[in-house]
Amino acid sequence: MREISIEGFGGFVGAGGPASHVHQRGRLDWSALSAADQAGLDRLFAEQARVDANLFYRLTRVGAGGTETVDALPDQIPPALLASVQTTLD
Amino acid sequence: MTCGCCIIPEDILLRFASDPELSDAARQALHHTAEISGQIRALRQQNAALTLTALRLPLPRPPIPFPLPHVLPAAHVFDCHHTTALPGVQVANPGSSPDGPIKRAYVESENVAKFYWDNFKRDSIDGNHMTLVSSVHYGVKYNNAFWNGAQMTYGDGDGQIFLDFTLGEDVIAHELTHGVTQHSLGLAYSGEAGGLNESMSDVFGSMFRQWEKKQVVTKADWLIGADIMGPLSKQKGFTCLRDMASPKSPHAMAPQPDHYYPGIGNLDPHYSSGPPNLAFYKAAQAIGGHSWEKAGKVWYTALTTAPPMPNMTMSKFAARTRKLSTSLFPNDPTVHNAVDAAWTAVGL
Repeated sequence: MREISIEGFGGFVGAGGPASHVHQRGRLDWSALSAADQAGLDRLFAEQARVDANLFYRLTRVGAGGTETVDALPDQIPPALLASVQTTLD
Repeated sequence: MTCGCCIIPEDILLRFASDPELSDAARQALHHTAEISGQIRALRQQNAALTLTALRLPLPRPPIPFPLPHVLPAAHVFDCHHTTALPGVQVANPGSSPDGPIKRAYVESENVAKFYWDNFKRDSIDGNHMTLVSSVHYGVKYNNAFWNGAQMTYGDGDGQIFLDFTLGEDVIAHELTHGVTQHSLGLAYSGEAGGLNESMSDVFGSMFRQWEKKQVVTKADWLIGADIMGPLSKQKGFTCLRDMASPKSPHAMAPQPDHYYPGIGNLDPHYSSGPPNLAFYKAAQAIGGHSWEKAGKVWYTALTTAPPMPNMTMSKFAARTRKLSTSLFPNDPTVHNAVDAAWTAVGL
């Protein structure tokens, strides 16, 4: 894996909607994550569990095999990755 | 060691659990704690699904006796201390805390409970005196607030785009109403039901804000998130996240459509909630007076007096409010006419 990106959807703010001016995105090099975090994320991507929640994050990682995406709840996400999220206005 | 599963992130527990410098007993205890932490997370994620299943069971439910005078449900506030581990550390006596977010989360949660009791005779989120749990100081400058199926969580905001999320009474009522919805129609967070779910939270969030200010509908601003807009947002001309009276308005940070169309349910619920938000605004304006007295009662009854319908469509919800506007106010046809015209105006 080279890197992982994260985008927030929902919550009170509801960032990421079609016409929204507010976005909540972040990214980290895969190597910046601990081995335990990488293993936890590997499980998330493998499980591909459906998320039906008020707030969720879309994780996308890029590796030699291509791009993978999975939706996750805040407490499933390593704090370091969650902390990379920056809020921006356009 | 004691279980710190609610405070320490799982990866840190596992890291220490593999530390050869710790005793076998300590490492074993850390492994157990990490395991419990994962189980608690799984348990919380199942909470919403469990609520829905329980509501669907054909069990007789005796009417809940209304204690008079009503005792508000307990409200507990936890401090995350800028971590993302929920719920955090419980705060003793949050109502007298010198910490603004802690005190506001407590006071406004109790006020929302009072709002639901005084106006709709609903006893807490679940209608059965459920303890209200809030966590504040979530993350570092975290720009959001959310309901996770069991509790409310508030970030401090970054101070530029968003301020502390407990500053908005509508934020607190919005999140608590997600709990009410979970324990009534059980609307999903996707499809048209997702748009309805978000709209319920905006409708009752705005209604609560008006109730606290004792405003009539013509004096209300109908803005969602106006009190948490930071200086950078205001500098860019944004006065709110959403505007129920004018969903497309450019002063809203997240403008919405103002008319229903087939396929709207495929979009983000915070976007598709525009038409039902506008319908409530129009109905309340046409009826006049206080929004919670007539329009609010129709919406509340439509939300809470049917079996769970997680995939309810907007047209079905509109039909319920049309019917209830007559049955609840048989001697006041202006209510039905207002509700009917409001939905028609947004294409439903």
